[in-house]
Amino acid sequence: MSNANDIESGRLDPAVAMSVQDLHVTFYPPSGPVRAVRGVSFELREGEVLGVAGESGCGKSVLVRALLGLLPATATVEGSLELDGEPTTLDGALQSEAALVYQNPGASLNPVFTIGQQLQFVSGSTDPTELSGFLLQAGLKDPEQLLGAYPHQFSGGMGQRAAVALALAQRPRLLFADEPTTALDVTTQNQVLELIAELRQRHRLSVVLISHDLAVIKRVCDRVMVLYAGLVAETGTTSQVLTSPSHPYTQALLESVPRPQAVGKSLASIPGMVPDGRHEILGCAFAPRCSHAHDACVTEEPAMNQLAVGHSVRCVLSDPTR
Amino acid sequence: MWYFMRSRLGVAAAAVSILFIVAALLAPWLTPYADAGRGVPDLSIRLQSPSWSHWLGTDDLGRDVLARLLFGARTALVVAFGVVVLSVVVGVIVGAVAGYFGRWADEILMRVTDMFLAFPPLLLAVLVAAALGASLRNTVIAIAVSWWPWYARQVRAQVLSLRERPYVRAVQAIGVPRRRIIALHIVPNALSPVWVQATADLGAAVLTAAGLSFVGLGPRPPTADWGTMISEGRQYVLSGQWWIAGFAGVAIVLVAMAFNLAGDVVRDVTDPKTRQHLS
Amino acid sequence: MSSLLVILGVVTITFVVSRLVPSDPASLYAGARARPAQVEQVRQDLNLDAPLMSQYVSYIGDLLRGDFGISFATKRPIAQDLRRFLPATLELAFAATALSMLVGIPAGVAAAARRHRPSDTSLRLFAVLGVSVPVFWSALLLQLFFSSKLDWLPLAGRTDATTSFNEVTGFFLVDAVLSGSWSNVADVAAHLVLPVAVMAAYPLGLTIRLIRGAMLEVLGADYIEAATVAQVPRSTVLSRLALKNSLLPALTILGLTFAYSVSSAFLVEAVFAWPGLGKYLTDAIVRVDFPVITAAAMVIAVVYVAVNLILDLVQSWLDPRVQLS
Repeated sequence: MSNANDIESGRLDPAVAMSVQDLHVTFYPPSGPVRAVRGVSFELREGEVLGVAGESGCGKSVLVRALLGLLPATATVEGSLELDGEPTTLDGALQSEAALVYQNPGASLNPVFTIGQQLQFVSGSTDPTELSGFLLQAGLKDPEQLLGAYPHQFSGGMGQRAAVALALAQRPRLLFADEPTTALDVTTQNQVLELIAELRQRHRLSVVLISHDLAVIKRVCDRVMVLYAGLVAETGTTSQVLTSPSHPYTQALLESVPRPQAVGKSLASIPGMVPDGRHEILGCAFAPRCSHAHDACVTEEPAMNQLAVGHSVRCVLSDPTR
Repeated sequence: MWYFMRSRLGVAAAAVSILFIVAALLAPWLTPYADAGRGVPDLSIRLQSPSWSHWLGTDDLGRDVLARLLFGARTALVVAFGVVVLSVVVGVIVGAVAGYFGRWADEILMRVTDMFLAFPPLLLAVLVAAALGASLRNTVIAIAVSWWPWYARQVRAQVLSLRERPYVRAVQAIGVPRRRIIALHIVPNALSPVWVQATADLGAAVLTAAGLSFVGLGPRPPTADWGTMISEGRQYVLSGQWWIAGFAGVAIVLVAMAFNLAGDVVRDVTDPKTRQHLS
Repeated sequence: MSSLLVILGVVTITFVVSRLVPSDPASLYAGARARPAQVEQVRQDLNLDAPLMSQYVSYIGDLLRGDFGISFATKRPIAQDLRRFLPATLELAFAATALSMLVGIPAGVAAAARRHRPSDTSLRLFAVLGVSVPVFWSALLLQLFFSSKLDWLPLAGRTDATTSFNEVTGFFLVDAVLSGSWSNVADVAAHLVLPVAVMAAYPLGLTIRLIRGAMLEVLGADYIEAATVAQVPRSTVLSRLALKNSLLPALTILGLTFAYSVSSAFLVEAVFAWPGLGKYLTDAIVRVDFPVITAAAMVIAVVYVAVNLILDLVQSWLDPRVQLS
């Protein structure tokens, strides 16, 4: 059995809680098939926070919804999922182990029921002490009073805490958080991130945190996975990826994060658009926007290259055979 | 112009709207039976079914139905634009004053507006038309009385949100007089949803006026009027002479639909958001 | 409280409008051949020579006592007529509202559940057609086909001349059921079909469209997905959660439908010779019977306000975000 110290020092790897192999998701709108996720594999360890980064449209939300079996029946989901080494289906079986926190509490809390009623639906418990316990764990004060409150009476930060309480009421082992801080102002953003970090410690929750904001990921994540056009562009520990980014896309993303020491310089943005997955992509998906692109980039799809233990990049520039 | 061509429906709507206006303006030159159109009876040819000489038949006083429809379009055109212009002007003034000055001005004007909104619009129009007496002018006034509060509400809401915009704050700060701010900076910007509504309402005015005519509150004979044609043609429908009420109804439906759909076109043209989306 | 103000406003507007009459009410009441002295007598009897303000006060006082004045044409107390005609109009409006809700809500839900949907253009065209057809014209067309040509349904009225039963409630469908005779019920129902069909046509289309949109929105909402992730049983999600969310738009539609029915009733009643408030009103217009016109219009407006008030109350009870002032 490992303890928290061991995890932090990296001496002992905790067990793998969830493992995803070669996940593909395709949608079939009238305008032709769209490959939103094109073969993503990753592991999530117990008590670990994994950040999933990328621009909107890179497939990060689709990835989570596919794992939870939430996509419409018209989408096809292929790949394999293991929970604690046991094969699991992708038809929503994961829902019994996982909870999902959304971007906007205003949309994820049902407007016509009180928080207490919603906690009741989710936990199946009618005991007010137990229900207010969930609110306490989510860092809300005066939980007994809040049980009778409606979502519209909450501020954004309180709403997101209530949404976290609803997630906790499901007694999950895995927590998926889809841009949980994007709709909040900076102060409440920090509070919600601290809450997630704290819950991970206290409940040994494994967390998948989706964010387009690398600053958010840097604060709480142990490892990062950068997605681009439905593929993993780069993955590694947070410090590996953020201090020595090796994919030109990761580098570009980092340059577009505002930094206090760079005041006065214009903020970099990445030229071009994310490919829409509608057309078959030849070569590297990022090549059209990449400042380092050369001929090889547009002809063959780059493979994952390992740079260090746990740090891999999908880019020909890092290909040791070249 | 490209936006008008966006959909076949939009093209059809624009075509019918233009056809209606042209028919109304040129009515006397478009039919050999202009006298009949103006209401001169010819009892020797009463209730004739559609034929080569009278394409849409004749009515109970022997007047050519097509000619009556063309002259009825003039009545409808006056009603449509009269009602919309009158209610937009009153609505915009009330809405702008209430929205910009707020406080007691807003309170009083909006309470008055609420009273008018408490009536079903058609009923209020009937009440006012009944009080003023049946005539074309009174039809216009009656419908406008029941419609202006809807515009006032819409404009007030727009002005309330515009009033807080930075550019309005800015001109306030440099001391531009209030009347100028309202007229130059607020009203023009508050109007874009009004244009959409007003275009669709051109058709609704024709429809409402037909309702008033149907209960006997329309323009006095011999003025040609579509609603009156339906109410007078009604007694002949069941005995087989369907064409008087039938074609008048078709004319109302076409014009009402055309302006309603044209409202969508206006929305696409005036709303920069949809324009961007389209391009 | 604010509804009382609105009703006072309705009364005030009807009063003001009734004093706009260009012709002199006293001479209208006395009749065309009355001598000036008789007209003067009527003027005093009807209190028409008093200052406008005191007329207004006594007008309101009369209304509070349930006195709506006397018809110029029939010289009958208007209150009596209203009591007879109101149920006929309400019966039409209730039936039309019920029809569009009972058919429209399931159809809207079904449309939301179906993956394939008609194109936006045809939906839009259908909706626009619905608002653009004058009800009195479509009523005529239905009469022509179903009564005159096919002879399937009665042409006009509430019952056949030979049908008779006790008018207990004034709602003939109820009264016919109370009479215990199936032929009475069938006769009343047959007379309801065409006017109700005309009045329900537009609200039905509206209901289907709005319910479909509302259901799609609710079922696609994050909070419904969140309930699924939380493994709240599907049946609970649909019957307890989504239902309560969709009731709000349904209620709004109910209000729109009823308002439409009440205000289109008087045109439809005129076509079908339906002895309701609307017919009472249109007949009074022809006779320039002013007290009747204002009274009938006022009653319809008050019904309209009352229904909107009830819907507001139910809505605030269902939706915690709506606070009644």
